[in-house]
Amino acid sequence: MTTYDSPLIDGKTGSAMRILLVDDDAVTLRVLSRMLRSEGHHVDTCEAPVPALEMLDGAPYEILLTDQVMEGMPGLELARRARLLRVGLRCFVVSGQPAPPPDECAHVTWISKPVDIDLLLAAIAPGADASS
Amino acid sequence: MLPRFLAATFDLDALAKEESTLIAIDPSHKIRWVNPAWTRFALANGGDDVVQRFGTGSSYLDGTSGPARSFYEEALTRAAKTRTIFEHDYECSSPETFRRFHLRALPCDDAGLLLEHSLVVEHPHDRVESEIGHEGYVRDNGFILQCSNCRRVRHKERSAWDWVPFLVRNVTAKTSHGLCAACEGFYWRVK
Repeated sequence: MTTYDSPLIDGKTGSAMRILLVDDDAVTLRVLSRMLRSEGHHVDTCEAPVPALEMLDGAPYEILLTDQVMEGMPGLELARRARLLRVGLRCFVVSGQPAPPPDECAHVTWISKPVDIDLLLAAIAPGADASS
Repeated sequence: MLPRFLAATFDLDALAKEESTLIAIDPSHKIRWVNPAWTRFALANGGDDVVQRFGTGSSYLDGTSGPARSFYEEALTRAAKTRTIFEHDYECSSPETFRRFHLRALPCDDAGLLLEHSLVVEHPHDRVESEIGHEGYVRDNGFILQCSNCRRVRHKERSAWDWVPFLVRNVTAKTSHGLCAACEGFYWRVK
């Protein structure tokens, strides 16, 4: 299921960031989107990677936050394609899998599940990662 | 060296002889003292590395991860500030052995805490791997859904979250990590 947090508009809205959250686990989507929204971010969600690419192509997201192990496409590949669609998109892979070698994931910031929300918020803060 | 807050509150000789693992932490959650039982337990469950990483001088919270870290940080801070006892049962199993512990956090002077970890239950997992079979946990798309917090895996038909030692020990490339309802409710509840 896909959910939209607010009307899609161009431009930034203060310190809030526009985030696309992709995970095939509905509970994880619910938990993370609730936490991020409570911090003031605009969060849209998608349960599969291919529809997520379509969403990325049509809206000014600043951050992609994606699971790694998903049917259809792994999160690393989704992030790679997403950055071709949207230059400068900051990409984060959230996974319970061990992080791959650095040369395979240099375009993303790897965050371990279960997610510590404070660590996640610090990671997505502007300028905190090197993937943009 | 023994922290003053501990010596002011407890009989240290008695603490040293206690078979439960005991840890004294200061208000910043830094471990200031452990008893011999803690050291024996650490050596038996990870060896010198565990003693080095989680011993005196390290943060007690470094032994936790994800939402459990925030949960314990809040609970221990509250117990120290309000000088109330915090108690909590938790599971800490290995692929071979089921274990449940009881944590009791006792306030000391100067906002320190004595943490007592008592073993409640320990036994081999009830069901052996050959009785369970792993195929019931592999979904039609080939993926396995594992709770990223408690590491139980979800049966594809019964929708139950089961402890399957083999799948805990062997996380496959097709293991997808989510959250079970119990972990979501307990650790990720809306504050």
